[in-house]
Formats: sequence, structure tokens, C-alpha cells
Amino acid sequence: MDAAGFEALVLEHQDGLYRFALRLTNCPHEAEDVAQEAFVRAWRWGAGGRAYPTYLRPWLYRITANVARNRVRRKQHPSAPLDGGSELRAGGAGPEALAASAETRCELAVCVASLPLRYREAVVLRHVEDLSYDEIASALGRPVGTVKSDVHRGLALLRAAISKEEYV
Amino acid sequence: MNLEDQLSALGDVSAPPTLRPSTLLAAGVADGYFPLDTPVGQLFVAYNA
Repeated sequence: MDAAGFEALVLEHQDGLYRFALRLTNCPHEAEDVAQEAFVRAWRWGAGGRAYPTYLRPWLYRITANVARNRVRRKQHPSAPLDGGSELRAGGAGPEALAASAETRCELAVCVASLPLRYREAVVLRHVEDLSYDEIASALGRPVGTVKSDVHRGLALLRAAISKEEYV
Repeated sequence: MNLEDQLSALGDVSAPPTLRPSTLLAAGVADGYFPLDTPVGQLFVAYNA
């Protein structure tokens, strides 16, 4: 891939990779860095003389997920797991603050950001990025059945969290 | 609106305009420029990652 081809690739996929990174990191600046690093890794892959995968889109999401995982784990983003009856919180915001923003898209984004990373990745790729289960399986390196289970479990956790917030 | 539709609405986000140029610069496929005042006027110095 030459420079023009790489620029075309960035143009085509920048919105998707940025959105995905944003939902994983819950931070616009971090998301931009993650997307940039993912693209640069993709470029270096091709620059090393290796062929690009046939299914480019899931591969790019896979790189993005790997970059984001490393950063999220390293920085210990304030995302409390929703499973196990844990309290929903984001960035230290209390229940009152979250309840005040109920029914807003922002609240949903906060709930998504509070999902355990495993479910967050699957839910965002399926329902925000509209990838097929096969593409998600390829992107996340998990069997299709596991991906379906992760999406189902993630949605259940989200519903429980939203329902809980509505009654705060 | 059901949950799936609300999630889909989260996709209504675009990448910031700085992402493409910063990516191309970081990958080394584009040059960056910065202005430099000199005795003969302002020069633009190109650099590459």
C-alpha cells in the first residue's frame, strides 16, 4: 500500500475506529491517540512487506481493540464493572449526578463505558459499529458463539444498569 | 426507542479533523511544517516523523 492508499484507508475508517476507541476509553483525546496508533500499526504492517488481511475492517478494529486494551489497563480508567451487583459509577460521579442525566445519550455512553471491557467491545462492535458476528469474532479473536454470548450479556448488564438508574 | 436503537445512535460521532493529518504525520507519509522567523522573512520548515 502506498501513501495515497494509506490516506484513503484512514479516510474510510477513521470515524469507525475513533468511535470504537471512544467507547472503549471514554475519553476523546485518548480515543484519538488510540485510533492514530492503530492506523500507524496498520501502516507499519504493510510497510514491512506483509500482505494486508482480506477482511480489512475487522482487522483494523482488532488492532484498535489491542491498543485500547493496553491503554485502559495501564491507565486504570475509572470504569466500575457492572456485573456482580457492583455499583454503577463513572469518574467518581455519584448516583445523584448520574440520575440527573438520566435518559440522555450521555448517560448511555457512561453506562457503556462502565461495562467490563470484554462486553463493552462486543456490544459496541455489534450495536454501535454494526459489525456482523463473524466480523466481531475476527476482530476480537473469539469464537462466534462466545461473541453472541458477550453481546447478550453486555446488553443485559446495560438494561439492568439503566433500569437501576431510573429508580434512583 | 429500544436499547439497540439508542446504542446505534451513539454511532453518530465523527473523528476529529486532526486525526487524519496527525496519523499521516505519525506514519511518516506526510510532512509537517512549522513557521520559523529568519532575517530573510518567515520560513516554513518541513519535518517528517
